[in-house]
Amino acid sequence: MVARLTSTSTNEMLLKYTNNNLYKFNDLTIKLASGNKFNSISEDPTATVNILNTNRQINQIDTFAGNISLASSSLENQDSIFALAEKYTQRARDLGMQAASGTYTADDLTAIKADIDELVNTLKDIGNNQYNGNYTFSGSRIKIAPYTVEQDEEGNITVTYNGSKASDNYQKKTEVADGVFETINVTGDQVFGYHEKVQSTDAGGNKLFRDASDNEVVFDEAQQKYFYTSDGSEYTGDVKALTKEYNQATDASGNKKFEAVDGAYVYYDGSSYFYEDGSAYTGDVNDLNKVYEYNSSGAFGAICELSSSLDRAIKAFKNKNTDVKDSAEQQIRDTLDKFAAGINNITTVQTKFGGVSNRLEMTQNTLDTNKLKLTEYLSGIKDLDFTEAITDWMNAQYAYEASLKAMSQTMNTSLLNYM
Amino acid sequence: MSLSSALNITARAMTVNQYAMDIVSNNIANMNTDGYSKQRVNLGTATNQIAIGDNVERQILSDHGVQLESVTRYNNQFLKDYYRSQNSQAGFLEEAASMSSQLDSIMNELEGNGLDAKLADFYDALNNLNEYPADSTARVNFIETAKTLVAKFSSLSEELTATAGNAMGDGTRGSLEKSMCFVEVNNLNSKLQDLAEVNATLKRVQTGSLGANNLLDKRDKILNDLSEFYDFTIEDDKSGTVNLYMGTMCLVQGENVVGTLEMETPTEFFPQGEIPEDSPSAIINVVKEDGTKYKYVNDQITSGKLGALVQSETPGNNDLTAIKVIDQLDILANSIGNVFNELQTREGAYCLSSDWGELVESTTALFTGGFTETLDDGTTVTTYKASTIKVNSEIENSPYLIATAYFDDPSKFDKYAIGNSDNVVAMLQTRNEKNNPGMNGETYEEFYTSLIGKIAVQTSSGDSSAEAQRDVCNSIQSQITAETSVDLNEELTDLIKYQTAFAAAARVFNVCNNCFQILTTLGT
Repeated sequence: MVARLTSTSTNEMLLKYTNNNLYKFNDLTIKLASGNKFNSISEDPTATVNILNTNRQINQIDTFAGNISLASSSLENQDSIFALAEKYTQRARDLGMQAASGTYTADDLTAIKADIDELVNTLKDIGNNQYNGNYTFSGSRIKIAPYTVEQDEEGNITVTYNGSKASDNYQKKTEVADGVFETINVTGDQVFGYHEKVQSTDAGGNKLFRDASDNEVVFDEAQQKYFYTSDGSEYTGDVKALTKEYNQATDASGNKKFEAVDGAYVYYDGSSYFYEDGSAYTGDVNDLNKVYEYNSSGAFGAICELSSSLDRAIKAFKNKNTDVKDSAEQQIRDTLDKFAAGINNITTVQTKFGGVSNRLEMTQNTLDTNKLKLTEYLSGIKDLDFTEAITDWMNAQYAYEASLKAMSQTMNTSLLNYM
Repeated sequence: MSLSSALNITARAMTVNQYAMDIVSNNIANMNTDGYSKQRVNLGTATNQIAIGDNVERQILSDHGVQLESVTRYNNQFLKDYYRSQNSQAGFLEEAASMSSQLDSIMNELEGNGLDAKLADFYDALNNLNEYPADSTARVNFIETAKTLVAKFSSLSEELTATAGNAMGDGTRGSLEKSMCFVEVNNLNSKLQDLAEVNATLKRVQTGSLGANNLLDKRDKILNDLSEFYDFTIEDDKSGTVNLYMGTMCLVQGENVVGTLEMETPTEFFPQGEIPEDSPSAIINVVKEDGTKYKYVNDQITSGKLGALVQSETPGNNDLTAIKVIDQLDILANSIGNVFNELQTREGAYCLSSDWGELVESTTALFTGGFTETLDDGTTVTTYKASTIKVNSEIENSPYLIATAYFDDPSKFDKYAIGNSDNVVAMLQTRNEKNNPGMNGETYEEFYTSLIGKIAVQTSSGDSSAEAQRDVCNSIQSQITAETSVDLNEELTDLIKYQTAFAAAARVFNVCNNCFQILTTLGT
């Protein structure tokens, strides 16, 4: 208790308490104006750290949600592609089954073959699907179309896969939750397969080519350079002008395999040409077409083999060679199993990504719930309770006005007024 | 006893009461003067020395009446000393809090455009790059966010450096002379001069007089002002003056200033080439009267405003200062720079060729501006600082140089695999990595958040202790004011009292005068 009170000390005290009220009033006014519980980090250090952490988590959730929606739409696109591919492969298989029944004429088979050859192109277009400017099924080679279809002079169709191989095991990872990466890509060779001629190699496993003037050129993997096999000099011409050298198919004893005009297989042991049953081939050697070795898999493998078997069957029909016709029909029947495997490939991948898609949806739900909770929490620590704040603000205003009034009236009174 | 004696008594009474009214008017005139203490007239009965003894007649005849004994000043020395020591403490805490709150406002992350947000943007862009590794928009976007990130680093570092220089300068003369400490030292020196001058005048003035009291008030005010700078030891001298000590060093002795503070830059203070690593940005010396110096007294300045400024640079001080915050930002920038450059140029990392069609080995660093030194064992270490880290301009001009692809198995390398974004995935994983160099088991964002948390806590507790200390000072001050200030009612009462006494004495004088006139006309 202060023993002595003077006008100066009373005035100072009044000013101090009035100022306290003013500060409180001003503080609440700023809070109301900004809508925040506090405006500088030191006002509430704990809440600051929580706000920063929560902001970060919400930001990450937004990123993950964005990733998931991107992944989901890409998966949806893939799913519709798989459905289409399955539909067309199924159709090719149905055609194969009809052809294998043995009740069709040469004209019917020719029509079927035309249909099949068209289906190869359709499947190619499906396999070359682009999404967001990138090829969907070329693995990591996103800017390279995964499939090219070529038909050589003999009518053999090759479907080359140009994307990165499934064996490279490249996985495109998308972060869908803290440190959780989902793989959402699949390479074309895994889904649709391919039907490629096997490129010839030298003893060292280096790939062989031929230049424009039919000289053999070898590509040295180690040096990444092209050399003539004849004299070992370097090939300096345009690499694009080189054509690949392919392996010719052989029988078990290594005899080279040819196809005669009637579709029958003819072998060459280095000195003479003979049929499968050992009888000598008497026709013109120039009429023989090389049979190439193929690397073949999946739907494309099945459909291309069907095409070449149909070709044989048509030739046999035209030349009325029933033996070859039977053998070709057997080949057609054999491709049906491969179709089953090819379709199975597609549906397996489809099922797998169906699972991924479900998982993403689930993650998305969890993220949504988390975000909602975090946003609520953030609002709880950051946002002002307006009802409470306005009540406090009005109280502070009354208090301030009251202290002003008290001060102005007290300060005026002294003995001076009565002298 | 005589009529003339009565006349004398009334005359003196009028003089004394008139003087008392002088004091009242001085009190009223100074009622709003800062630091003024109320003065009071002590009146006493006039006694005549020669009347003492047994000569009753002489006693009766001698003059009586009133006399002015002294003018006393309302004072509470204990409270004043207490106030000064608490005021030094408040000065220290307030200065420290004000420095801390500068950090607080620089590092205010609540508005969402701080480093934390920029770091999040950076990782967002990286995530986008993971989706579209061969896409120029994604690459340019990533580079832009990286540029924003380093720009934020450098702007924070710049602001903090400016703040750090506010206290003691940055080691150059120009910046020293603009520093707060330099300004305060000059203020302090001029206050020391003021104190010495007041001391000198006090020595000449009679104690107990109005003039002396006014000077004492003035000196108290100077001492109060000085206490805010440092908790000086004040020693009363017999001659009525005070001596002022900073620790054991005497700064003011009576009417002489015997020690003034002086500031030097490290280059001015230390011999060339011998500046120690932990040297503060400015050295404080005390220059004695004879020109010799107490050198390098920084360590002794531990209290008051000056103490807060000087201690902010003392190594071993646990408080986060601007310089320490810069150090922390440097650690963060260095770790990010090194980690990302390592990923960008590691073996197996590939960027795009200039035609964007193929992968080629990546050798271009993402961040530049580091300082590279070669260690004894021949390895090189590059250190990045928040102020200098930059996005490599080569990358900026050629976005295809960002290494997005990574092959851990060289035999799997495929130059057409431009959609490979394994290196971006590795970069993304640094966000949750707790073992990045220098991070002590925290992720980048956690590291930064805890730095912000520390600053917030420090500022908050600094603010509240400064506030509490100021409250203590204010309450002592209001106690002092209550005890020593002027009260108008009191003064007006006194005024009426003295006026009445003066009027009454004048009336007595008149009566005596009349009596004299009657006497002079008696014989006529």
